[in-house]
Amino acid sequence: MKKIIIILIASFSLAVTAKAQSLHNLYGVSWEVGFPVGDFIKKVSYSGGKLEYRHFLKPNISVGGTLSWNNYEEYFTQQTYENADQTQAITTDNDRFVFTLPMTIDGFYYLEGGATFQPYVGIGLGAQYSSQSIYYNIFVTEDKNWGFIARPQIGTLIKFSSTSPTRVMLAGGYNWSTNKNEQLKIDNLQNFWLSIGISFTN
Amino acid sequence: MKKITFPLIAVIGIAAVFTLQSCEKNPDTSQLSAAFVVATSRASTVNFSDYSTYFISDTISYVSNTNSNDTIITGPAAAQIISEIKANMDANGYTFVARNQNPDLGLKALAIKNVNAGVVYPPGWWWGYPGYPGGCYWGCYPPYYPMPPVAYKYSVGDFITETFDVKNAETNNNLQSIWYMQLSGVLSSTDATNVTRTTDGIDQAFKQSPYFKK
Repeated sequence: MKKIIIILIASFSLAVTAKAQSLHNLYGVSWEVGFPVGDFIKKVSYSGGKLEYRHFLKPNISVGGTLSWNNYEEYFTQQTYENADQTQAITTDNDRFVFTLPMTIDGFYYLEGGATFQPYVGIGLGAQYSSQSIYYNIFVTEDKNWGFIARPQIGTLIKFSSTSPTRVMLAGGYNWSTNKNEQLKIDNLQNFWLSIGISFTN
Repeated sequence: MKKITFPLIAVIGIAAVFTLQSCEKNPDTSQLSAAFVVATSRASTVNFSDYSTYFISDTISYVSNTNSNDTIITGPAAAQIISEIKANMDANGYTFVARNQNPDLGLKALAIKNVNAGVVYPPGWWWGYPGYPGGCYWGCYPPYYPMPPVAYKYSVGDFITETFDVKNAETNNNLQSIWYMQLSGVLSSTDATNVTRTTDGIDQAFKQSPYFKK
């Protein structure tokens, strides 16, 4: 009886280890910090996040999807803005706001990383919904639009233990989208980002 | 392992999109000041140093769709506002003269309140409103506004000062608006606050128009 129990425990341990080494699916949720590029808003956003799913085609290749969001906001003190030929000018303080909601199909390639780390590189391609606004006095000038987005990124999965299905996720990347707002003179939206999150695998 | 089907992923995805759209924050506009938004616009071909004298009436025309009887603002508030415009004009080298002394420039102040929010109007639409001295006030010439509107919506409270080229009206065969300022924002319940915001706005309008001097 004792022998059988030892064999069962050993078998179970092996099975769990084998399963942990060969991932099938990953479900992740992360906090995402955005660093905007461009003149419209320069202030870092801490109000972002993402949800993602990855399906492993091979031990080192996954495909999946990501939904992320971010809220950029910055207050500008009173200043004068002029048009190109300097025939018109407007003076006001203003609060600028950009909301982004990228939705991407992702592909990741995983590198050899040892027992704890599983680094990867990848890219997400898809669509981005965004709204851009300028609030001044009691007025608002705003637009909502869709664009194509590319999210190249690098990151790593960090294992708690060889048997745990949970991974810490660290990642960083760059977003470039075609969201355009002629009224606010925005030709595209770009930002760098860093994220930290947790994922569950099977 | 149970397979996750595509429809299930699609449903989860759509639900997530709607959920995440609610992640859009409400902007914090508490820092915004109550100072009027100051917009100015000029005719691009005019040399402002070609003019020497100006006239401005002591009254402010009042255009509103809520009270058609109240068409002119007079009294201490109007006097203080008109004085501020005069002070800026004088400081910029122009001389005030009476209307019957053929001023080069004709200035007109008007306040607008509660006029169809959201409708786009070109500058000068107030001609013909009760209280606005249209017609032959500056000579019998049709008004001409060469500039596009700076601000498109007149809704809550606007104070406008326009400047006409009376000197060349006969040559041009029109009354050209060569400069106007528009101060926009919420009117306070106290006159003193409104007057202060307006005079501050007037000073800013002249400050951001350095070309407007003799």
